[in-house]
Amino acid sequence: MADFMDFLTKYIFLVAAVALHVIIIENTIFTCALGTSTALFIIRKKRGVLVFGAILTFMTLFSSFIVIIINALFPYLSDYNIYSPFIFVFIISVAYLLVLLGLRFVPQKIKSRIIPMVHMSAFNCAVLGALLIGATRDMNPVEFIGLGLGMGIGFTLATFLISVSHDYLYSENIPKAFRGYPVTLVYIGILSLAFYGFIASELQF
Amino acid sequence: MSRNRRSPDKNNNKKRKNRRSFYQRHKKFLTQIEGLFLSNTVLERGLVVATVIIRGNSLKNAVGLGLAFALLSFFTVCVTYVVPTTIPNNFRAIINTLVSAGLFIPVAMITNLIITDISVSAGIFLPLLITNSLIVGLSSSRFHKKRFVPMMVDLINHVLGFAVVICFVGFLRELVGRGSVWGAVIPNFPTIPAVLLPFSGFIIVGLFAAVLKKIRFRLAGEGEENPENPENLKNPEN
Repeated sequence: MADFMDFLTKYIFLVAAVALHVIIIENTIFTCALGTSTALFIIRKKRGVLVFGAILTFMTLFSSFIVIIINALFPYLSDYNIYSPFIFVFIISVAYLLVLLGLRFVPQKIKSRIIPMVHMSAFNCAVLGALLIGATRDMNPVEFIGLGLGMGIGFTLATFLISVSHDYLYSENIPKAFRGYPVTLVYIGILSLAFYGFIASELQF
Repeated sequence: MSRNRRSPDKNNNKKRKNRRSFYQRHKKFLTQIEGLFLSNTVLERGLVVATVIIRGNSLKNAVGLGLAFALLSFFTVCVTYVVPTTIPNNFRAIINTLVSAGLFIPVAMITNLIITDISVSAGIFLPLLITNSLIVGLSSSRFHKKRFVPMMVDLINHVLGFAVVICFVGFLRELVGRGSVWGAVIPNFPTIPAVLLPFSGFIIVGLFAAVLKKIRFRLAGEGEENPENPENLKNPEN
């Protein structure tokens, strides 16, 4: 029992460490720019940022689990090659269909809120990017789970940080030419620069 | 005061009238090429931003990714045009993405032949073009609602809009960041390597988007047509 608890603790810490690294150092939006278009769309449409982030995190985790299972059955799939994207898109499609099936058992009130977001949360750069990054870095299953979790939570955190200033960025305080999308990109760039500070690298000018 | 000298207000009115006249005269043409110019895929619609920001840091990468995007998006939208519209959107999204993923294999091979080692230098951003917003969002909500020939014209404009932006951003960032063009170093050229980092990509694309917005205001005549909608960034699904 003690050995099992040690085993569990070790791997939980590993998952948490990888997830934290991905959230802070390799943030989905601020460092990798994955899912930026999706995040801007969700913020403009004033859809639930946290709900969308939760669904996207679930999609990345679920897809990562399926990839781990398939890699265990067919080890050659762990090699990144020109056919990997097709396999990953197929896996994401399966995860998407399973989520749609699962929504049948959810109350109508919650389902009507979630259904419009499931499509965008599945087919975007963040989910496919998580699988591709895991494959290119030849990660083991535990690290893969940490990566999927970190990408989803990192996306949610970044989208939340951008949405906080949405009203101001679209207000009349901003010059007309910059109002909205242009200044939002500049704002994300400044936040990205702040996150770059976590890498503790010196900017070269 | 001379009677021949026009007042500043009359001069401004005349300039405004001329600006409106240009836009109104060429409105049909400008609407046809809106994907390339006034409703540019990246700078106005905000689509496929990640590729421009992260990998638009050299001209070679930019040309390779622009070519791959053009081939992949064009053929995916054309092939999925035949998918019946009676199929629910949920399943159309799956079909569009699977077709795109299947077409990615020959597109990646062709792009690698034309631009050597693009799959290495572009990294995961080459296969990430499979789920770009043009294919996932715009194909069902915009392109597939048109007749085939107008759809192709609109699609070509959107594709070119992305290609032009990424090539220009890539050229600029490589020149300023590395002091080179397509790998050929320019001697004694001052460089700012920070321009190659993601945060610079966001800021540079944001500045170009502001320039395009200003041009749109000028062509429309400020206050005449109102692009001053906070929802100015088009819905990726429109």
